[in-house]
Amino acid sequence: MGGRKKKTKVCDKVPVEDRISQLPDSVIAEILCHISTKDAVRTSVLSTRWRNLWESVPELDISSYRFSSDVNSFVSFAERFFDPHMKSWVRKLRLSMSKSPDDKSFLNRWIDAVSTRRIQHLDLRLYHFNSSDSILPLSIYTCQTLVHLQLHHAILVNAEVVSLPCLKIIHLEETTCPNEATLEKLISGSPLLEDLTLIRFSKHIAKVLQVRSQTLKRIRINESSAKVVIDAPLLQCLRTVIHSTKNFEIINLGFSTKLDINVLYGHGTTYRTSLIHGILTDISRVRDLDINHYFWKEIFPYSKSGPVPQFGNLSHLNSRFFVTDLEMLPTLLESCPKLESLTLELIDPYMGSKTKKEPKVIFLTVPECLVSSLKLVAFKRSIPGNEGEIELLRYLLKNSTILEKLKLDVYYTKKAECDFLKELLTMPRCSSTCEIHCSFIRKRYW
Amino acid sequence: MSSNMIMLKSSDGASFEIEEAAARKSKIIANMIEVECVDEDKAIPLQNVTGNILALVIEYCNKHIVDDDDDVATEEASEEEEEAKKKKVDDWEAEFMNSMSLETMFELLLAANYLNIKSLIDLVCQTIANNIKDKTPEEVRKIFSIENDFTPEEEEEIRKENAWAFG
Repeated sequence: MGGRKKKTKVCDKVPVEDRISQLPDSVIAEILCHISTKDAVRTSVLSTRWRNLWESVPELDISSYRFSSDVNSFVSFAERFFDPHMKSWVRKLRLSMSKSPDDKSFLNRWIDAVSTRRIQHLDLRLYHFNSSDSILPLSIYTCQTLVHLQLHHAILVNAEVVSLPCLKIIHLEETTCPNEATLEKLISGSPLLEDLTLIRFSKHIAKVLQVRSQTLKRIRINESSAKVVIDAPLLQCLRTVIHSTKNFEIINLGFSTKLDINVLYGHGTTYRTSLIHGILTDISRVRDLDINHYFWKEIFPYSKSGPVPQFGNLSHLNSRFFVTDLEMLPTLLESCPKLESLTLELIDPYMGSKTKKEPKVIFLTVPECLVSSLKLVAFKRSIPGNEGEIELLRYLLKNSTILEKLKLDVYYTKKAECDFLKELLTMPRCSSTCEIHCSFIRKRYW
Repeated sequence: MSSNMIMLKSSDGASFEIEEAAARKSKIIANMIEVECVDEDKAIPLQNVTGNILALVIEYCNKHIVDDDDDVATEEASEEEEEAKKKKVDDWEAEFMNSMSLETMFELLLAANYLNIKSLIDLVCQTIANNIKDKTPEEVRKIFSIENDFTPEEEEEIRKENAWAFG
């Protein structure tokens, strides 16, 4: 294999000759793609060579905020890119606008223009628009080159025909749709779709949204009024924010799908039994789970009346926890006999307050996963000087037979750091191959 | 993944041996392999790339061989491992770009463009673009030795035209 023949010069950063201006136009346009449209426009004064180069950049990424929110001058500036006679490539269009301009038809003109100019990435954020101004034209459904579609606060019209042969990513946020058939057509008309995000999408339409796709790998939902029924055999990950009722149902949920569940919780909320039961059923099937602490708080009191739920397939668990809720950890670990990796992000519920309740973590028996499967334990944002936590670490190190790695991110003062390390190193470890990785974050008061 | 070796020959006659998988990062070479116009004993002549630049291209390609199999790799690797891997590549790229002069960067960009290596084009463009981003036109001219051939009046006119960008 040929090595580097000549070592290139180091430190000699300032060229004597103006090489950049000698690059071909297309190459300069490619460089300008990597900066904002604003920075690109500023290159027009560099020299006569650069006067119009920025206009050939195939990406336009601008916000009306740059125009001191003067949306009308924003529209008249951007208009030149959407001249119907122009045929040059527009690879990416990202527009962010803070209100409706006087020109009511600009959106139709611009989207029609870019859809014939091989657009790949379309991102429209239409904040505080009059609803009649945020209606998108039909051309958006038949854009043959589109790969990534992201819409915020836009309005989709009824789709007759959808043909998006290259589309891989759909992100619809606060975007309205006339009926659920349009969403279904959008998905079925995108034969390469891999990512789907729906955030506050359903509020004007159905109670149930059907998502059927043979290609979808990742789905993210944040819906409070509808249930999203997912039939996607290749699904790798579902991220969801749950308000008060379970907002998803996966048909044929297999263990290879990762669930990332964030259950929202307000003061005085008690979850419906159906919600808890539904989530428990899902967890018992999957291998990989990311879930927040409010949920655990609910399920263990719930399970007191019945048998402790079992999560027989779970091997990766990532969860946020109140330090005071660590008392639930033994029950949780007992429920996960095949757990291989446990990541806990610890949160102090008494932030800044003097009253502290130390958790007492009591293990009656050693959970099965410690003996047979647990290889990685990570504590993020551990809080210093908490006896309950230190005892927990001691217990885990002493009883985890095959633990390979213990990772700790600890907030500490310098002195406490030293004491903590000393203590940590004297703790007996059951697994001879266990490594401890400790990273200290200086304590801040927040 | 095949471990066949391919020979590349630079414009100044230097020969390099490279794994086929690494060479395939170049769409041009990948196409040549596909249509079987790569003779096993003969080197592929690259008229537009000098030896020292080709060495950099090869160094980059060798480092990025695994990228193409990303989809398969993510199945088993945890997010954390993925992150660590990505950071390692990012660090390597930063170091790689940091070790060369702007002159070399332009040569490398032209070579990447000629060989059609998308990720290398992006990396070099980003590094060059970082020298333009958030800088005044005066600073940009200085960094790249660009001579201002506008009259002050002309320059003023252009600034006025798009005053929003110069604010």
